[in-house]
Amino acid sequence: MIRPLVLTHFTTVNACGQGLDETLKALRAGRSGLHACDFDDADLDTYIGRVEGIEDAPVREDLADFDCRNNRLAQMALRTDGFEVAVAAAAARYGAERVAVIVGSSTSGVGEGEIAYRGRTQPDEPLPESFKFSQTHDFYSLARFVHGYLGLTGPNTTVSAACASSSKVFADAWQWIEAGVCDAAVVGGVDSLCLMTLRGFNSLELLSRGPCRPNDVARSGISIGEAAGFALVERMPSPAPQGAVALYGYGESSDAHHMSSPHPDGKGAILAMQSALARAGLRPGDVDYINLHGTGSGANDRIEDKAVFGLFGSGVPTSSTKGWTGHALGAAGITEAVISCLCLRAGFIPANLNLETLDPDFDSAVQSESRDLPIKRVISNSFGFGGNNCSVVLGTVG
Amino acid sequence: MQVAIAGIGILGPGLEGWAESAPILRGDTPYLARELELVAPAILSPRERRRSGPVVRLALNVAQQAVEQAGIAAQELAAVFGCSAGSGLEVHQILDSLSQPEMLVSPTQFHNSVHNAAVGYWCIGAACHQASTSIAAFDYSFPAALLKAAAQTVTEDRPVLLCVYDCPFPYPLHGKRAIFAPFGVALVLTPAGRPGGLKAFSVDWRPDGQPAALSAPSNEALRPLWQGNPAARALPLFEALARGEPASVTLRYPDEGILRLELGLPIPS
Repeated sequence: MIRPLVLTHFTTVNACGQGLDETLKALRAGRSGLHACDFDDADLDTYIGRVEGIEDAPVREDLADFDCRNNRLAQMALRTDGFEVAVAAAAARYGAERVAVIVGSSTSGVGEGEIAYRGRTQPDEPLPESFKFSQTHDFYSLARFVHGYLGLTGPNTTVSAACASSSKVFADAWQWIEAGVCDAAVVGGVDSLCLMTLRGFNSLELLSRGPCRPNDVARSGISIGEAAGFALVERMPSPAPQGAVALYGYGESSDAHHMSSPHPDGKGAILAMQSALARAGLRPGDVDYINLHGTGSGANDRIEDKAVFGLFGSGVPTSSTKGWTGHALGAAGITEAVISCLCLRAGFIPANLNLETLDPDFDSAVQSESRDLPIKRVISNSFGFGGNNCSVVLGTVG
Repeated sequence: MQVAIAGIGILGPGLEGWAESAPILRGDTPYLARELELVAPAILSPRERRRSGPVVRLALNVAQQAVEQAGIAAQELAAVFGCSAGSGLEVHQILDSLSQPEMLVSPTQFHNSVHNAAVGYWCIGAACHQASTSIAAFDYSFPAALLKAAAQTVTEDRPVLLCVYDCPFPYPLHGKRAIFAPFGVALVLTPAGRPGGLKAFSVDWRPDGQPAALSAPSNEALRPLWQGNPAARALPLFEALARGEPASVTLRYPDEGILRLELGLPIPS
């Protein structure tokens, strides 16, 4: 068993809600954030989870060079639910140099690179002066922006392990805190809509034409969403804050199979969940709810069902919440970790939105209706391209 | 944090493997930069070998050197890969496709464009199901990945493969982010070295915004590479490893801090 970390504060901005209250309301009302794709000139017959208002929310003036869709979305989340205030309090308590920033993203501000390339008229033309590569397009841009915005001076990094990125940040934060590198960490992730992911997933024939329908017999692919989410994690204080939410375990694994198809027997998924349970000191039957990776693609959902059923049987309720948010890729891990925290606090198990007919080959307990139920331990799964997997165990203290 | 170095890999222009590089890094043999031919990694299947891009070739070859030297099965090693640019060639190709009216993206280029492509292929080639990750910290990618790998070695009490590498971007991205030449390093870290042994290695982060004591390579001829590739920030450490004497190395990370590395010093009890 590992020493748990308390999630002192957390926030999410996603297609179904800006902030914790809106997100929980949307979950309770079954109101999806997905709509027909209207992103730039992506020209695709698909649904997306778009966050409203990014276009009107430039980044803080002193960080103007970092202005791009991804960092704007990051800033929206930092300004939501009093998150930046909570971090300032932690920095005052520990010292700004004792608070790390560990954030995940799959594409960072690549949208700025797209604009720069598309603005060229000749193939040998250089990229324009206005394109700030290091502050926007580059992967480290997100970590630098969050670090700078919050005025922190501790170690920082971007994790870019595709769709497992912002789940793996919990493992990194646990290791750095346990090793004494820092006393607290801002973990999270941000991915924003861009042509690269929309057209890229389209090329793999992985986009659903309508809103994604994870685990449904008629599922036909994913709906790409954008999201930002953060959590402030610290050592568990003594006495433990009853009712707070904590990270009890994490488990990472690699598929070692294929760049964009999951392991056929779900080996990586099983290893990640087993390892998370072991660190949390839990048996499968101790888990009250599983928030699935559940992308809506044929292969992911089939293999995840097999892995979950193999470990947990059909006794633990499961659902994918991507019908609300879309697949936020590098921000999926933190978005679903925060949703799991909301569910723990509210005593609520969300439905698998857009599920009409469960795939008849599936055996795990996918929830077709939301329900109120006190829960204490949740597993959230994130599996990425490249075969990078991560599961986290979140729970209520006390 | 106290760890041990069990295996070393290095691959760059004129630095092809530890046996060739150690005398150069010690200053016994002059450094002569010559173009590095990135051969397909032997651990991949023939099909994957053919399709492997430059960054995958660089990372897998240097990782394999360190793992072979360590004599630990690759399947047992957690993997921390660090890289500033990611798959720069594939990203360029996709951005180029997106600037054409049809916006047709190649599916292979897309799944190879992710930052974690190299570690993904490493795990495939090595049949490794352990934890693996891919981190990016621009010019700080080496110290950031090292700090992550050392913390994982210590807190999870397990051997960890650290691999840090970067390849140049093609034009026109190269104009925005100049990476001088392909270069990569790898270390296999294990929990705790014997006190005083060369393998004993301490890694500690501390706040320090002063520019004074940062380490640069002693060999002047290596400085263009050191300045021009984020992975080559490891060169002062690798010079110390080649000399085989106790040494201290100080790396900037991030703007307001340093990573302090002590090699081969007595471990305080």
